Amino acid sequence: MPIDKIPAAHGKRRAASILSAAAMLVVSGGLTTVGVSVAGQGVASGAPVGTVVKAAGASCPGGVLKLTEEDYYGAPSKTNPSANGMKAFFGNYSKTHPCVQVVRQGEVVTGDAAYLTHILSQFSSGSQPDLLMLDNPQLPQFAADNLLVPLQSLGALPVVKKINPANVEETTYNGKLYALPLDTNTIAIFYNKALLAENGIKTLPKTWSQFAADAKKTAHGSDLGFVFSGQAGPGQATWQFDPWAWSNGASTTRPDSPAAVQALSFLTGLVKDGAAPKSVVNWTQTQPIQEFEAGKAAFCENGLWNIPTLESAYPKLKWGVFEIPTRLAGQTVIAPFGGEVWSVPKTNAKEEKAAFQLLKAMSQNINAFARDVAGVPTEPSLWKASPWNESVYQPFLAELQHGRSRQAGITKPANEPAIDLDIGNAIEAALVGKQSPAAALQAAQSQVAPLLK
Amino acid sequence: MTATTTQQALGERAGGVAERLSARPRRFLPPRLGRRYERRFALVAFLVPSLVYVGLFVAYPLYRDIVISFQNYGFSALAAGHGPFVGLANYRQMLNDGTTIRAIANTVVFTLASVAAQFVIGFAMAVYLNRQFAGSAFLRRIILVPWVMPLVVTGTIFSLIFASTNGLANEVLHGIGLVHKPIGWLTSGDLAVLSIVVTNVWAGIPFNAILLFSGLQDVPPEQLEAASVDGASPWQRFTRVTVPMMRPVIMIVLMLGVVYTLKVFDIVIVLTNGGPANESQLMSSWAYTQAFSDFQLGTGTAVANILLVFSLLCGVVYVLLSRGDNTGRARR
Repeated sequence: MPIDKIPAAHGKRRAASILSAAAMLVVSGGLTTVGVSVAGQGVASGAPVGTVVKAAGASCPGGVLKLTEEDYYGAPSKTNPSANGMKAFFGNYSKTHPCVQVVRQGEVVTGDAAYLTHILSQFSSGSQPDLLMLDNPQLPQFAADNLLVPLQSLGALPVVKKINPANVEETTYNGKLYALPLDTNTIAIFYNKALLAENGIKTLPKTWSQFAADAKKTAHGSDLGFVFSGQAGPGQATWQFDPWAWSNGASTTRPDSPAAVQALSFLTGLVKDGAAPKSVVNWTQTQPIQEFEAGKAAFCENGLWNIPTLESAYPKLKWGVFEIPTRLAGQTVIAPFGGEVWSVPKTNAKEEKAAFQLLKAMSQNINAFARDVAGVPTEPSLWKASPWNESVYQPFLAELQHGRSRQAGITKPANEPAIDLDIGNAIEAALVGKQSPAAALQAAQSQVAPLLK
Repeated sequence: MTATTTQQALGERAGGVAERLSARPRRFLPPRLGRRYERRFALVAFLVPSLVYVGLFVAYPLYRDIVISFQNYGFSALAAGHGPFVGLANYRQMLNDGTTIRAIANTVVFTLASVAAQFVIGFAMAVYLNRQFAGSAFLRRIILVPWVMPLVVTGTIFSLIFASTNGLANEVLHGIGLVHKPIGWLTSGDLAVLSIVVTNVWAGIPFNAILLFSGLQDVPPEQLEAASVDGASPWQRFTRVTVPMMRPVIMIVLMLGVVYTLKVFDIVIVLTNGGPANESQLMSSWAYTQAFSDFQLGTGTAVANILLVFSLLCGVVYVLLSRGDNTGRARR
């Protein structure tokens, strides 16, 4: 396997970086001299890097270890609590662990495709981060390609026993745990209380037929009724379609099952009927929640990560949440698990060990971590505490209890992203009326079949 | 200045530079190596920066692009840096894919329609702006606004205009009673392609208008006057004097228009993301989708290379046409 070459490449790169670091030290040594003679102080700006290494080197065997971390939460700002949380955590960790310096690279690339391309090119050049965040469906591909270290080979992880076993299962590949799921999330229906009252809706819909009738009632003039994402892509159409299909008995491994066709026919019917706008096919998950925030949509299928923003930025909007309706009353809602997971890429023994310790520290306060990234903790015993005990979280938590991993039943979980895209294309084709739901899903079935072998 | 005098002047100038360079040989090399080596060294020294640039940023990426298009370059290959050789399989797979055929057809329609509309409207605006009237200078400046706007911004604005639900286009058409139910500008394949064309035309008009405007200013007024004394109508003056005089500018505008339009990518991604159901994919967006959404860099680069061949063909056509232009002039 070409992958075997990675450590060698990494070694070469390390040699190169040692050489360049030596050169930098010579340069910075010169700068320090200048800095000292001119300003008379040696503990400011870039010059003292060498000094810090030397000073700390006395107490840290081998000097300060630089750990790189990569996530896609972007740059810290007032409106980006996740990035603020990451920055604060890693900053504190570096302070309390003087022999480790964590460098967060979460500001470099955001967005799914760009992020993955960036990470993969880092692996190909041997410059992969020491701690890596991934969207959970992407993990198996990385594990299958032997790019990550099985976590339990690095030490014990007592927290695993407390985490929801279904979440642990989605980060387990060939019987080995490759990442820690610290927070999770899923989707349900947000509703606008004022619009429901205006249209005389007094009880929340539980079944598809009740929901269709209510959505239709709220779609008139510039009011949109029910908004969702119908555009194929990772974490878009298929992820939003899953709970409708799964709760009806369908599974990802049989896209053309009658239960799945019923679910797609239902959503297509809503669009045809005008109960949901035609634009859903052009929408990722962002536009629907924006329409909901603007007070234009009575119902919006979206994730629990929106709760903090809805609470803080839209105080005038009165809203609530209910579980995804089922075809028949009494069916259990089965929703997909979302959320990011944390892995340790293969680098070298020293860095892998240190990254594992960092990950362990992150897992010690799952509650704070989940709050920082606007998710819910993967440890169900924490759900009784604030803010998870608020009423708006309850429909999500109820769904998470019966949650399902998107890789469930897929023999080669690494194929999940491709399967997701094939089903997404079928959803698009049905929503615009290019194909009937049955024909579209049959086409998806024939594309998916070879990926399931 | 005739062609001969220009050449002489250029020759003198070039000779001058060489002489000046060789006038101080000891600065570069020890005297024993002599003047010949000195000149060669100077030549190489001048060539190296551009060779390095072309090598690093054009030749090497192109070489990698061609190599990858013959490899099974998926997720694993990306992580490893190389994939197994599969011959023409990527090209075969892509050309057997309905979406690729649709993307090629869309690209041809999109390019021809965009370039034609941008050119005609741009030319009309150039002719209009070429007159002196109150505010004409101001108008010439603000006409550039769509051109300087990033295409992502343009795409976002037009996605709001063309939105089927509460979009500006539908609101206006409905308001003036032209339509009774919303048109699915971005939700039906053919209309989505039309919407992308309209957006691109809007963004490209200023480029055409400004280049053609500068071309118009080079048309000698005496010739137009002479034609009008000879009894030519305004339309005849335009088609028989202005257009032939502007042939080189028109060629450049059309050529650049085709090349720029072939590679348009941002507008599609923002407006439709190639959808619904891949019906509005252009070759550029389809190559991107294959490479970076599906992580099939092999098939993605295959599509990109087909697009590259299209661009090269346009280049060849341009060279052939501009040669014809030169001989035509020589004959005159």
